[in-house]
Amino acid sequence: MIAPNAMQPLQRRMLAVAFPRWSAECARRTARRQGVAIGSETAVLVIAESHGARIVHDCCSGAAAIGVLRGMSLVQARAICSGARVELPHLPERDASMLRACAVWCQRFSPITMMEPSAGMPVVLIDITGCERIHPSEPALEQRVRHAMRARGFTARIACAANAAAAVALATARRTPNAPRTLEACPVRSLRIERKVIERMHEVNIRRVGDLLRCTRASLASRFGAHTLRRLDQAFGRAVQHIEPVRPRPLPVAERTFDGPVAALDVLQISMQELIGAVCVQLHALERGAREIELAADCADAPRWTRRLVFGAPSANARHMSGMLAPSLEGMKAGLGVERLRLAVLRMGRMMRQEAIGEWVDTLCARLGADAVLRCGLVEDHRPRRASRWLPVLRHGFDARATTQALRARVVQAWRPSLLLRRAEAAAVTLGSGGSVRWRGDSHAVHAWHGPERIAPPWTATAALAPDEGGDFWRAQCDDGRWLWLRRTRDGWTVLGVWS
Amino acid sequence: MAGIPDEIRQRAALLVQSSSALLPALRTAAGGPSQDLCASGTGADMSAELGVVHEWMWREARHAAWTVPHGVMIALCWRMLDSVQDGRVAWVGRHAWPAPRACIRRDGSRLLLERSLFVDPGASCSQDERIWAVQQSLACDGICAVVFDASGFSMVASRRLQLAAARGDGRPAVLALAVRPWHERLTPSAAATRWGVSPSPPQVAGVLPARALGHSADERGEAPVWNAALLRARGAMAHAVGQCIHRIEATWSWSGASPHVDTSDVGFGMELRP
Repeated sequence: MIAPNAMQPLQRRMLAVAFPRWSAECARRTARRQGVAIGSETAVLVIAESHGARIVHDCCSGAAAIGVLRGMSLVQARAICSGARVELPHLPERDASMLRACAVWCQRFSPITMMEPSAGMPVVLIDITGCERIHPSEPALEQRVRHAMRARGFTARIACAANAAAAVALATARRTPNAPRTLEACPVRSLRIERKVIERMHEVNIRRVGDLLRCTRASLASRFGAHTLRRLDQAFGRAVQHIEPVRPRPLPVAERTFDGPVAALDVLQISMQELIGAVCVQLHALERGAREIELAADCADAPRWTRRLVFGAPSANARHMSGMLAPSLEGMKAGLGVERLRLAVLRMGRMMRQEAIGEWVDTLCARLGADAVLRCGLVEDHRPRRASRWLPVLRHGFDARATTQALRARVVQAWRPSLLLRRAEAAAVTLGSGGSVRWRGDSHAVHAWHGPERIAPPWTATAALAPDEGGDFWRAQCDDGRWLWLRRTRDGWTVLGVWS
Repeated sequence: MAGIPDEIRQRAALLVQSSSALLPALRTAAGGPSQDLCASGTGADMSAELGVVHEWMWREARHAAWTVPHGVMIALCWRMLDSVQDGRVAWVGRHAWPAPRACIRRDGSRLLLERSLFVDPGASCSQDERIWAVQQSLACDGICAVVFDASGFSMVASRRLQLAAARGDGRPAVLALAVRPWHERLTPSAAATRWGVSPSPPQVAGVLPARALGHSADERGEAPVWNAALLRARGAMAHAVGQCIHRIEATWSWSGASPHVDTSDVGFGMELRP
């Protein structure tokens, strides 16, 4: 990508993300979310009704690889897919809604995104004009988007071009990453011309965009219509294509302006309850819960008062919200009174199956502090104290599987105690047959020793060793049945853990 | 048992049901031989031990730093997760938290770790706040098991927690496990049972030579073994002072990728007192 020059106008760049298996992958994702177990080997067939017959509207890439085609009758598809398969209904509204959600999600790459729904291959367009400082390399951005889509279970074909039509044509035509990157090599159907017109083109052996370019404009218009000519002009930047950008849905907000300053707490509380009710209605309509809300009060002779709350889990429960907000309203210094009360949702999230857990976290955190409730995230590290970390639920959410690092973390194949002492405790050890461990004032005769296991920091670690990270580790089986985890260094022996 | 009032007899029957249910619970909790039974839906019924508080203590001489029987706690929580479809496990109080690696099954399953939430009331918090946190956890319908640090809890506090653990009709039952230091074994409590866990001496006589890691220790039965003795239960008392009512044995297994607990019944004896 060329670096922007202040003297030259910005070169327009569009990134198109085409989804060749959109319906099937949406159906698989929805079914999984509803608790239907669909393995990666299971073929997914999306079934639609056409003229009274049941046909395959879309299928997963696994089914396509063994010969299932779009438009094929269900009976034929069943005969081909003899193994495990799932037949799911085609829901166009669901597909459109998910495409919109995908376009909104893509606004993390650029603020302007568009969607172009199509029966065969829907496309999300990302306007990356002027984003060179954030995304200096187009191939790297393509790779990033591809990985993000793959992580969410979607197959994506991605291409960049100088205008939307060209980007769409290149993306839909690109079956493999090494496919030709020129517009001339793309098939004519990638211009999104009507099927009947394409069939007419095939009759006269026009199969590529390059073939169309060899014809005169007059003959193209007379033979295939003005629409074909317009599509061609759009793809080569000679005509403007108007596409409506996707705008995220506005976040729920409710406010009340009083006739005059109101200082009575009970009136304010009633108003707050009404605002909470109004916000919850909007949240229910969106099928979302609030993750963060802000209550603001414009006071007559005092600075604006605000109270922000973060919920452990998305909540649309009016009772819970008012329970969390009511104590803060009591401590408000409103001066002569409040003129306007406003409740706004700052962040939303998909509702969890169990709202009770979210409310429990909020209740505990409100009294004990934001870091009072934690979950454990695994880390790929062989050092026992670094193999996990504690993550506050309010900041990191509930789902351990959502943490990529936790997904990747593999358990080190070694024996570790059920109790790791907070800090290493000094011990006097006599190693060998007839040995003993003197720890916490008691002497334990050792029945058997297991070890040593040497634990060292990785070679990449440049910082100084933590006090109990390295050394030779032993398991001592004491005569009384106690098992201790011991570490030996130059400074002596310490007890690090116990099997309790 | 002649002459025993009906009420006592009923309580005794409930106790036998409860303590017998804990056995298969421990045995199946960590993937032992009974795991298949559990997977096929014929696992042990845990209803007898739910809705009441069970206290667990690690037998030790010192008072300063007390130990929690994490192995047994983890095994019971695994069993609970196996028997319910949804629900979280709350570990209240830093002292009750196990090492995270110990929560992973030897088949690599991390369900317990993924569903566990750890509550840290803070080092400077008062005992009332810890009791309140436990009470909130026991009352939450989304939580199926609560393991909590009950050190220093009075009779009044334990009764509050017992009431919270009972929940109401129609609400999902909770497994309430309290861990306490050994020196509080004579403290009065409203808990249904009180268990003492101690390490079991090695089976092989004599001192063994040192072994390098990777040695097949599991085949020789050299793994931590714990005895869990039922010290006190409502409606029953031991034969004599110092004798337990019920005894179970838990074994830590080295085999496989991560440790787990197998248990077996080693003794049973109970006397009913009218």
